[in-house]
Amino acid sequence: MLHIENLSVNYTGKTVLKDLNLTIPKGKITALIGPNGCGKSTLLKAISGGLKSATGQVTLAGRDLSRLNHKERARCLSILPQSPITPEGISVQQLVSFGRNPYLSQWGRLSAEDDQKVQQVIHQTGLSELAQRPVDTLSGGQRQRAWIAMILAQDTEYILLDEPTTYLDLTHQIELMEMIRQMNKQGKTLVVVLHDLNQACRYCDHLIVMRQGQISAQDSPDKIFNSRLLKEVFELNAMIINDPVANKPMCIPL
Amino acid sequence: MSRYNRILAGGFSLLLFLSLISLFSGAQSLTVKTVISTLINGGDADFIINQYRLPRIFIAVLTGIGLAVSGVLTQGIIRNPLASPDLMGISGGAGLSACTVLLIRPDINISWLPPAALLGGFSAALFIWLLNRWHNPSPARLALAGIAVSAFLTSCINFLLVLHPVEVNSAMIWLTGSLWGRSWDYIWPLLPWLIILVPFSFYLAWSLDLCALGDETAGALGVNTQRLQIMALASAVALASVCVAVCGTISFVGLLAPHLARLLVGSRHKLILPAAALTGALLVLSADTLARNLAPPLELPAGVLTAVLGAPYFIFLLHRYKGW
Repeated sequence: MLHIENLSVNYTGKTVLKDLNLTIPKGKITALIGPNGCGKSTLLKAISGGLKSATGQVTLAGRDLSRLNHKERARCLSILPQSPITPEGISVQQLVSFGRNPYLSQWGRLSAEDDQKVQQVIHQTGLSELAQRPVDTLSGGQRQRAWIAMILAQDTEYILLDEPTTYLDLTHQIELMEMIRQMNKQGKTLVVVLHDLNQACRYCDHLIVMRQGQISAQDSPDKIFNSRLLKEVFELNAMIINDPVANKPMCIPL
Repeated sequence: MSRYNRILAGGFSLLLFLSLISLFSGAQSLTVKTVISTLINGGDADFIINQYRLPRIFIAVLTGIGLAVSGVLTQGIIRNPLASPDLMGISGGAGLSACTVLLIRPDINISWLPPAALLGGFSAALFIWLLNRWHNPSPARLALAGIAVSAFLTSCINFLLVLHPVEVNSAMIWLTGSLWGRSWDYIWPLLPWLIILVPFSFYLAWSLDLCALGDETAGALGVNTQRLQIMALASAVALASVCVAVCGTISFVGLLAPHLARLLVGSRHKLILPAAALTGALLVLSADTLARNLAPPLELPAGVLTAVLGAPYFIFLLHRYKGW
């Protein structure tokens, strides 16, 4: 279990997150939803330890994350930022091998096991044929798969993804969500920031709804996803129907 | 042999070839026979070869390596194509303090120059870093601040030289960088720094690769980005400063060498570092050889020649750079 207690973040005098308390259920897919600027990305960064101004406590299986060093933390928890920088000329295989960093010495020499892991995740993400291609020459969908492969090579129990579907077309969005589901079946706990509420309901077991730096609701989509919540959080008039395919709630804006 | 090894072997042969040319040519041309017999048993040309040309070749190669590695580290951390020790005021700071020390105490032992230059280089780097911190940092802003600070420091050097007229050749070193009159004595203050810091930069190479993904991603992958930045920038400042202490600001080597190396061998720092070091050594050595041979017995400063190559390239980078 990932517990977050009394987490607050202030940026230049402005409170971005205020006294958050929440629990990320282990072995599930959790979606983080909320309007733009509500603090979703900030929350992910604060969980992963990437923010100095964060106060409060993040504990993973009883261990205080702030007491771990960088590599120890990177062996428990991985995070894919919203728009990571793709360096010029780096091949898919090189990018994926960066995911092994928490297990390597400062010199970065990969062992046979590390190599094997890299090959395995490249295969798993369907990138075998693109392994030697520079990442910056790939299409958006392929590129996102390469980043996911890097995160998988990091081999952490918890994976945080910040808006992984944002720059993808619908087909690739669904492909990515299916990939997330697969990762979950292999035992990973995922936290995903999503904008598409219907995808969030369809693919995720647990919703965390945020508004203005605070948690508005957290539970399974069946329990909390209703028109009152949408009105309150997104200021959107919508009707909720049952998704006939996934048998999950689904919203239709009015 | 892989493409990479071929490139390194090619660069190395070129460097050896150039060293030989540098040994034979100059105000007084020497025959193969004289050079060989002098190297083995001394003789007539002993002064020219052993005291004059040979140390210059070594110092040119060492400063080329130092400036290039310093440039690789700076660009690796700042992720800015315009970043380099001379454009960021580091060379200016190092030059100013070394020059000041020499004007106050002309008879000072030259082993004091590197520490003095380090002090100046670090102060300039710290100033630029604070300036960048205070404002919203952006690559363009950083480059502009660096150029402004460099110009200011150079004008301070000019002012000092006007106040204390010295021999033109020694003054030239602090203005444009030259290897004029650099003897074996100058190798000892330089060598220990390179022996420690060049291998250390290899130690940082893998982390610098990760750093190219951005601080956020690198941090998530377990890189202590803050520690890496401090270690790499401190090494870069130290390398550039000691090189400046020995032969002034040989401009644009720290900018050009990493770029050329990247173009040749890709973006892995483990591969860039040796390639850039070779390129840097080639640049400085060819600049110095040309400087001695263009109009003998007069000598041009080597820094002028690297600027002839570097300035147009810098303008090309500015033109291509879209981050304004």
